[in-house]
Amino acid sequence: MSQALISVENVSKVFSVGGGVFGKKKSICAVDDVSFQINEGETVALVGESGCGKSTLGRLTLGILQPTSGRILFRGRDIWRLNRSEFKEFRRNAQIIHQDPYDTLNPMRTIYQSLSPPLLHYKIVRNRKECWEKASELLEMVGLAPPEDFLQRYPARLSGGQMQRIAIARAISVNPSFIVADEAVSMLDASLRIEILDLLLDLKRKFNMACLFITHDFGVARYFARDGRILVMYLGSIVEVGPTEDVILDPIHPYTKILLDCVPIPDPKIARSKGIPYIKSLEIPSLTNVPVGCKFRTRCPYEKDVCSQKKPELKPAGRERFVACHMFS
Amino acid sequence: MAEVLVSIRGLTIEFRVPRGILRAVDEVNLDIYKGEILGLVGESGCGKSVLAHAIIKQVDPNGYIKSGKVFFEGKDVFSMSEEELRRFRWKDVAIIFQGAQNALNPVMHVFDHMVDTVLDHEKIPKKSILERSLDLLKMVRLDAERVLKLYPHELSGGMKQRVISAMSLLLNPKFLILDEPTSSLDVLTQKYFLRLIRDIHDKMGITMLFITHDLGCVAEVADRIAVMYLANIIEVGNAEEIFYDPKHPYTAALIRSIPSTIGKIGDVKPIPGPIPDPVLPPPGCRFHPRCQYAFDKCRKEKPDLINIGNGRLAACHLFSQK
Repeated sequence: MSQALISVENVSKVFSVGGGVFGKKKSICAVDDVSFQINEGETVALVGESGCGKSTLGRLTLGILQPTSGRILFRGRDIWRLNRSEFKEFRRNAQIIHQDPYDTLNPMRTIYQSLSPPLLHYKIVRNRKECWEKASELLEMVGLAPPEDFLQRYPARLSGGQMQRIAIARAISVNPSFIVADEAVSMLDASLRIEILDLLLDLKRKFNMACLFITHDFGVARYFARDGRILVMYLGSIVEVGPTEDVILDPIHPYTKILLDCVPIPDPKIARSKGIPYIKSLEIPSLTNVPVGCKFRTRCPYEKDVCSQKKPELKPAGRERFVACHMFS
Repeated sequence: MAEVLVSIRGLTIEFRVPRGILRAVDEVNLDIYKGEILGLVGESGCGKSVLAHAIIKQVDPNGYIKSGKVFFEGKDVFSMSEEELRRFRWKDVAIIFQGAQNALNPVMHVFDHMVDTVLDHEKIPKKSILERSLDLLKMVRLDAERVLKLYPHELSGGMKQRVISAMSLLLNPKFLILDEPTSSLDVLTQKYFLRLIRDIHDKMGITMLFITHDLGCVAEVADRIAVMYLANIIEVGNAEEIFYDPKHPYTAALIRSIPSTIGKIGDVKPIPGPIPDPVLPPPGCRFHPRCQYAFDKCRKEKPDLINIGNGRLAACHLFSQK
């Protein structure tokens, strides 16, 4: 059995909040004992509502944040036990595309000045001439042609879609084997998203990159991860895993079911005919006051006694499917 | 024959921007019928929000109404006196906008907000205001007695949105404008809120204008839909017609370009072509550079929004009379 590219093993990330003159310090567990794997070239969508911890989890897989407990393995090696040069090699292999292109592009730098540093830092190119050529090649790869038109421009002269293409160019410029796209199309107009998703899918296939695609939008997750898997996250825990289409057509976990039932459908007949799912409470518990046992129980229509006693673990629930719910143990 | 509540005629609104003049609303004609929920849909920057705010004569400081009129129950809104306008806003028309939650005063509890809102416009004894507040908070499915005494920071985002909705209904407006009311809500709260909007509409018969960029939300809520592209209304029809049989090429392309959890993934297609510059829009039909059906006339002449049969309106030369 081949080794996973990225292996997340019982990873938790706890943050300390508050404290100081006005209150006690509290700890929030943004990522709570999460385990999963991503294989070479695989697409995994990580879906959840804002605040569920998906961005934090994404950053943990890239080595941008260090886990409070647990391990992140890259090709079988704990990334936090690598020496300096090994860690640098890992970071070259694991790149991010941010939601806001301005998190990638410095508004005071030209496009060339934003693309060149990683190319030089990781010695992808040997000199300035090669660097300019490579930057041009990258821009053409992401559909920005002729490249000379763009290399000397500043981000302010570009549209959101163009900036995101450059963010993609920068991410692939160092030949990574793994990319995390964190709400990469959320700030773009709805009709522009498909173009960017298609571009990313195309490059992913070309260079056989694995991708962890983080989003709150099930429609986008379905489109991008159609040949991959989907992980559903709630309050720091993964509650359901499975092949994308299977999970969307036939969700098992009560939270996934309710979430999919509530996603607005661009079809008037279907939208109006769907009843409104029953949920005990619309209020999402604060991370400083998470329910004991199953975190979803305060809102779950199926809550039983065991749900407040024991936290459910991800268990097999069908072909390649896993669910964390006491109803399915 | 349905009665027209709001009538917009030849409305043009421009903004002074560093690069020149930006025409955010371009000679728009639109009728809103009494008792309907009209969805106004378009991508960011298309002018839908500017259009909606103009109905109550509200324009950003660096913008101005260049031409056109808005009639409410036959009265010319732009000719109203300060006093008439003040009464018109909030009593005849209420507006729930994005970020309304942040407009709540942090040192006033919910009941104070209710009283403030009412007394600004009418002299009504506090006891009556209390009764009406409780009724409305119950209608928006909040624990009325408890919520009345809470301060904004004690309310969740979803609860604030409901309080704002209840406040907007205090003076029994005939018309409610909702500008991207669900943009900051989580998926479950959004679903319940959209249902609430329809309930309020069904119970109170209020005419509503629902502005959004989200096709899913508009499908859920609207009876009729108007589609905007780059400052123009390019198609109007009832919800089912717009989604199942769009006439304007932009409407069809827009619907096709949104990935969703239903339908075939392979059917999703991007809208081709460059995003136009709002300060320098294309000549003729503003959509022509991205339209697969564009012909000579499209590059030269801007198509009018005309009735193409059965109350359907479209601004496209494909439907012009020869």
